[in-house]
Amino acid sequence: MDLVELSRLQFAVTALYHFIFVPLTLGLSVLLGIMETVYVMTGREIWRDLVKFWGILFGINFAMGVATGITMEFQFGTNWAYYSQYVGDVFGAPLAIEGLMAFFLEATFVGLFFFAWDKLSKIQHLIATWLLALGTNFSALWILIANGWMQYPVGAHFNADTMRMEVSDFMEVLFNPVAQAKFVHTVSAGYVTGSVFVLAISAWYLLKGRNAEFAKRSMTVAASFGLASALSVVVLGDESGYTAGQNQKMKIAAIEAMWETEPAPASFTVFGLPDLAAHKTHMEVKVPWMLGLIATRSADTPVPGISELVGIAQKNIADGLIAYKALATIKKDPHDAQARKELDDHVGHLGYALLLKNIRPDIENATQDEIVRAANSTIPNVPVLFWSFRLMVGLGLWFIALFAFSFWLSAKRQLDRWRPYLWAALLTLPLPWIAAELGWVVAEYGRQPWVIVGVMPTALGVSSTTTTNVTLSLLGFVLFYSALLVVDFYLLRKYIKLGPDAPQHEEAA
Amino acid sequence: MFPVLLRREIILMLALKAALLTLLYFLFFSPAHRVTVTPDSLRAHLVGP
Repeated sequence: MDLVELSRLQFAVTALYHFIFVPLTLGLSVLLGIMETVYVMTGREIWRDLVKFWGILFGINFAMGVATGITMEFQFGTNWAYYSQYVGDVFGAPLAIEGLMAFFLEATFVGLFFFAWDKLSKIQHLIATWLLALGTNFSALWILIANGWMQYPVGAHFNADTMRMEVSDFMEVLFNPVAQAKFVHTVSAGYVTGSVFVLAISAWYLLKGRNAEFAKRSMTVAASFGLASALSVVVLGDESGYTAGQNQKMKIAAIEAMWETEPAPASFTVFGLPDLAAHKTHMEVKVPWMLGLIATRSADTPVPGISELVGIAQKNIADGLIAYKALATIKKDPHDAQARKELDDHVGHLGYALLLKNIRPDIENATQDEIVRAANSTIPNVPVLFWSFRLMVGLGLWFIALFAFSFWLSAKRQLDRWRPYLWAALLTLPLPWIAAELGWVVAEYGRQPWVIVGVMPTALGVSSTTTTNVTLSLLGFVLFYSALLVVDFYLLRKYIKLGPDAPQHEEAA
Repeated sequence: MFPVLLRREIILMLALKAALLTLLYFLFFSPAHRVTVTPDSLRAHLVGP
């Protein structure tokens, strides 16, 4: 593996490990708020027990997960120094705000939630719990604004003197439609994860014939909140699909394994076997109109396929080369007004020209064949995206079915009557994590070959560090995170088995 | 709210975690490991020397 692949793998591994802890924190924090609201409204002690028990599991996950994301920030300085310099002016602000949200707002209210039961009134503690949920969700908002900018870089311009992307309109960065769609889709997925967690563990209690009243109440909350969240994930995922259809057409084409442009109204491929060599998808099963409605919100707009988009990339590379040559001229003579004007006119495609850097260093002398090769490099890994997306969507539909059935059983007061249902709920436990990780694979693997779409190819963002350093630190991360995960599982399992009425839960601080 | 045993386990884990993170930081990510990038070095990286 070369330095670029190793650096990408390291970032991907740390991000995927980090996101094992995050969705449960997002989901359980809101569920705790709901349960405590019911407690405050009804005054019934069982609801307080619910908050305390699920709060303990939330606390274990929070303690194990906290600071696992900080290692990604370590990597910006060592492995991604060129990236950090090039876009740090834009990327740094939301990242810093995310840090403040996570460490101040979230951490403060975590402390109040756990240690202020006897010091605050019921209402005050309830407010602290909801502010904990709000802080958790807000810190996700800022990191997703940063990530959304990598997918759709708005509100910034290139400054040839500082060689950086600089913010021109922070509100545009903040209200980036890709970031907003990504945020609501991601936190909804977290709510589904929290709901499945509560549902599955409660189902286990019912299967074991213990803590029935506690488990049924927990399942009722999880079923209703989970159903709303699972439906939201689909609706908001559709919004993500639309924003990607507008701004990341190649990602949509790769997800669909759509080699040629799909005429309006575009069909959606439910199943198929993508063939990379032949640029065909075999045994396609298509749903008419569906892709057109998702990606364009219309029935009269074609959806461009990979071949057409590669053709557009070729034109963008040629255009970007004009900007690149102007930049080279400015390097020699910073006062060349004509070069500055040419750069301004073509800077939008400068990133496309930089794709040629993977092929030859003196890109201004690139041949047509090399431009075609660079344009072809804009195609992400089609089979990985195709299958990851379908598996994620399939799991999303399963969650809706499971929560809808749970809700119906809850309304009928028959949650404990049907053991196959309880087993299905229990066995669903790992699935929301798989769906969430697949979602990140689609989002980030589908962004390749760009670190910032259309602005900076991934290979150019990597520092000139050593492969030994990256390999050893990657190994260190894998060992460190695996140990955390083992302890997380061990502690969660231990306190789930002890259950909500274990005597040691009464040992107050 | 936290059981005493769990509190001890979590404190121990957090201390170990902080130690391991600090170790990883000093071994691989301290300022000595960082690559200094200036506008000129970035210009050379993108446009050439």
